[in-house]
Amino acid sequence: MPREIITLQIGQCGNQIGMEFWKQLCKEHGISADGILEEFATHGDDRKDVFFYQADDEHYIPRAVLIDLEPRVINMIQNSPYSALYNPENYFHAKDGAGNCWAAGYYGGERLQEELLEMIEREADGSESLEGFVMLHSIAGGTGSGLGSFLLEVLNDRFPKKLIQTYSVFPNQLESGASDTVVQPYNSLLTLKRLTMFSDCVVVLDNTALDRIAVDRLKLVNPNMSQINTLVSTVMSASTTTLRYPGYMNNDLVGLLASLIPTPRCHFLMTGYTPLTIERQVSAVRKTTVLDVMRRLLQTKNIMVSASTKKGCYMSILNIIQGEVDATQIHKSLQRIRERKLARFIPWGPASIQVALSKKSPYVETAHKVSGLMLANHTNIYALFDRVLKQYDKLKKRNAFLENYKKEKDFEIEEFDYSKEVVEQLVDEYKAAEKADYGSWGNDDGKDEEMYKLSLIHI
Amino acid sequence: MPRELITVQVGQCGNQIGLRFWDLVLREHARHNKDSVFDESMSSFFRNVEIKRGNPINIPVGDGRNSLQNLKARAVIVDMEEGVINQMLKSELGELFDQKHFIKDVSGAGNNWAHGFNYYGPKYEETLMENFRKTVEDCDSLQGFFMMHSLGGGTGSGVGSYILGLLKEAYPEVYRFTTSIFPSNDDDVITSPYNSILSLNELRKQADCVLPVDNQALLNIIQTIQAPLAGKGAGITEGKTKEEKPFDKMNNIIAHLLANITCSMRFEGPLNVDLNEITMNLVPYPDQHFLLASMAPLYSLLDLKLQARGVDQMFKDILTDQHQLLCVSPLRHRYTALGLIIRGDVAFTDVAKNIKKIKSDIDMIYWNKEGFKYGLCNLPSLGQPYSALCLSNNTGVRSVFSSLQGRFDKLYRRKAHLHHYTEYIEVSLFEEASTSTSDLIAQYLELENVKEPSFIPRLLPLI
Repeated sequence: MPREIITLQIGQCGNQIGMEFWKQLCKEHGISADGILEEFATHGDDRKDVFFYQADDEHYIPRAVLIDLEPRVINMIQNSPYSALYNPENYFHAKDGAGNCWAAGYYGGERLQEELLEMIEREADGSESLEGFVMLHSIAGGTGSGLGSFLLEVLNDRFPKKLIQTYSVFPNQLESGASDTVVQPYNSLLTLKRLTMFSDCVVVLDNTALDRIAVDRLKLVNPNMSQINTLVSTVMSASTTTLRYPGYMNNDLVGLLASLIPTPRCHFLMTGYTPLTIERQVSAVRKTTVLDVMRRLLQTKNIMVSASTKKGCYMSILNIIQGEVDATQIHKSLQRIRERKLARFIPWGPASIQVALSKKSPYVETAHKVSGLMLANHTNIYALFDRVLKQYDKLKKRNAFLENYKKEKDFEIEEFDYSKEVVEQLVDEYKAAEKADYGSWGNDDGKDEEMYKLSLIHI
Repeated sequence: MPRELITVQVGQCGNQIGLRFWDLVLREHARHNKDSVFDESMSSFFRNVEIKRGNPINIPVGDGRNSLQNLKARAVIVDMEEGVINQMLKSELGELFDQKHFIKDVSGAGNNWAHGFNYYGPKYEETLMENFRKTVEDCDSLQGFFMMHSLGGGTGSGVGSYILGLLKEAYPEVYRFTTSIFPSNDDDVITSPYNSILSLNELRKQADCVLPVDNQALLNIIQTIQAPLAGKGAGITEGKTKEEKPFDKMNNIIAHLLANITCSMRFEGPLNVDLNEITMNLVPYPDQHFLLASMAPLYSLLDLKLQARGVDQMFKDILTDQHQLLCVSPLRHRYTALGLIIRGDVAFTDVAKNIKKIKSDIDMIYWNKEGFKYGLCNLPSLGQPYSALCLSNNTGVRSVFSSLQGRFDKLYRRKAHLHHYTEYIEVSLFEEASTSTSDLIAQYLELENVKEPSFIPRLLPLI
């Protein structure tokens, strides 16, 4: 039973990451840049049909829809060596761009919804048993955030039973970091509401952390955007290996996610990957064992999110280990980790690390025997949302930069307040999840709520 | 189909800048576009026409591989006296312009804003609108109007302001960017304060974004460059035409400014910045749309003996007084937002590192401490391996307005030269303009002085 996944790439960031992702997938499955299977790959037993489908002429086409409100990035993809790979009917671009304005992206999407939905439904009809959608976008810009939010709402409506996973790039927010958009707090807040309410799982990719990793870990002197996007594509392809190389477990997305997400709203995952290399650059090849890999995955410096894992606790962890691994080693490693208490778990649930073994692609050479990806649901991710709220407050109090949002006729200023409410509740929920009485949180017991509020004042 | 830009060149200054601008853009595209096809990046500024028996037919971009036939600039040229326009037509770039898009008169506006605004403006309103309608029709997806003019004279300031008003009414969603040349302290026109303050009022109301440039600052830059180089390296001040006229060097700097702002729309890069993103991110309140511009490096390295100045040095330079295009010390005032457009081979971790350094060096307003916007474009500008353009919303522009207002007051108190203006406009317009300027200065001053409110802890409730 193939469970197909349709990828939606939105905006400049989404399309640039998407480009790297498909490059990586093609390499792993032995598909050339124009979609033809290479000779050495014809006998594989990997499942290409999750992400690709075959055209009449044996040409593999990604199940991807590329959307942008301005033509430049899509033109760049159409002029790249991989232009023959994508289905030419699946490109969509408008002319005007969203100008970093969430409202322009959202209502732009609304105006274009017929055409967008037609493309998506066509792809959905072409799948035998669609499992869900994966959306790639950033939340700080205009198109990725605004049009992305609109699509989340619409997809939830049209395909209520399908899973929606997003890979959302969060902006560089730290005080000491370099932000690249001034109005990112506004755009991020408005998108976070939709990510909380309409998506089933959000994989958080933090530009702050990616920068840090590129410079510190990879020791790249001058990484360019495409090398950083390769990091992202490594993570994305690793998280889908169990779907593409079928094993005895975890062969579909819903299985992977079910164990990671205990409560519906706490669905923001952080990722970590080790060992990190960029193609053709192999930093000192170490001996990699399973324990090594799993221990490194828990270290903050390998985690691609800038929230510290030292505070708060893990709600669930999934490690996808690839390579030559002995199953008994895994058992030993888990024991070690539990002994050394390397990961602190929530008090109210099972405290265990799940491990999934998967095969590697036979066509890609890697210098390391074992590599691992970690997908974790950690309560301290609320630190990211908190930062967004603080920066948003500062700007909103002064009513600065609001003119362009007001220019969109249908946009109501109250939208900011609704979004803020949703995000504040999300932060509260994560904070509550750290405590043992999380099970009774949110009950309509007025007394509990009052005590909770009073306790906040005293802090 | 990139977004097209229509340039509007008004007055002597505007047209001279325009000439240098087209020269630069042609050279830039010529270097990039080796097969001379009319690709999409050229379509931002040019149209491709086929001239068949005198009737030019527009050739659309199509798949971006049609060859160049005849290029015509997407420009509307306005001047109330013929001298400059005729010179343009006789120059090497004469063929670039379409005679039908010229609006000219004979006698000129006589350095009188009112003459331009209230006489020539309405007189040519129909012709102007007709011209704009035709140029807009030729565009697939118009993004903005770029006006080049000076504020000290008559046509550029008066007719220019009038045109802004017309454009705002006819095409409200299209961005109106202006490059306005403010008069220097020893300007040759005595009534320039009147003309400037009256235009400032209109710019505040009608324009979406203004890039003020000061003649004095440009002169300082040229003198700084000439001294050490003394004719060795070519710089961004060198044009192609052999006989350099006096203002050519200064106009070349402005041409570079305009080319750099639009580079992200025309050429590819990992992080694109559109004109609407510039307004979105750098203009917090609608009135404060006057952006301070600065560029670095200002001289290129054709002479190998000169050391290449590093990327970090470029970021340091961009904040110094000598590199600003306005006579303002930005570091002594407060930033509300800062945007950087970087061209060439610069790694974005370098950019990130330098932005962090900049953040600690400048006084950024407390509620927008992370107010940075940056864009990266792969194609470097002519003659330089990498360059940066900084557009910032800085409260220092108020000092320029204040000094202008001072000169205005000196004249106005004596009612000197007023009778030339009252022939066409009412005196109340002067009062309105003056109050409007004071208001603008006050707004910027308030932003400069606002301090972060200190946190007053609330009293704990007694339970």
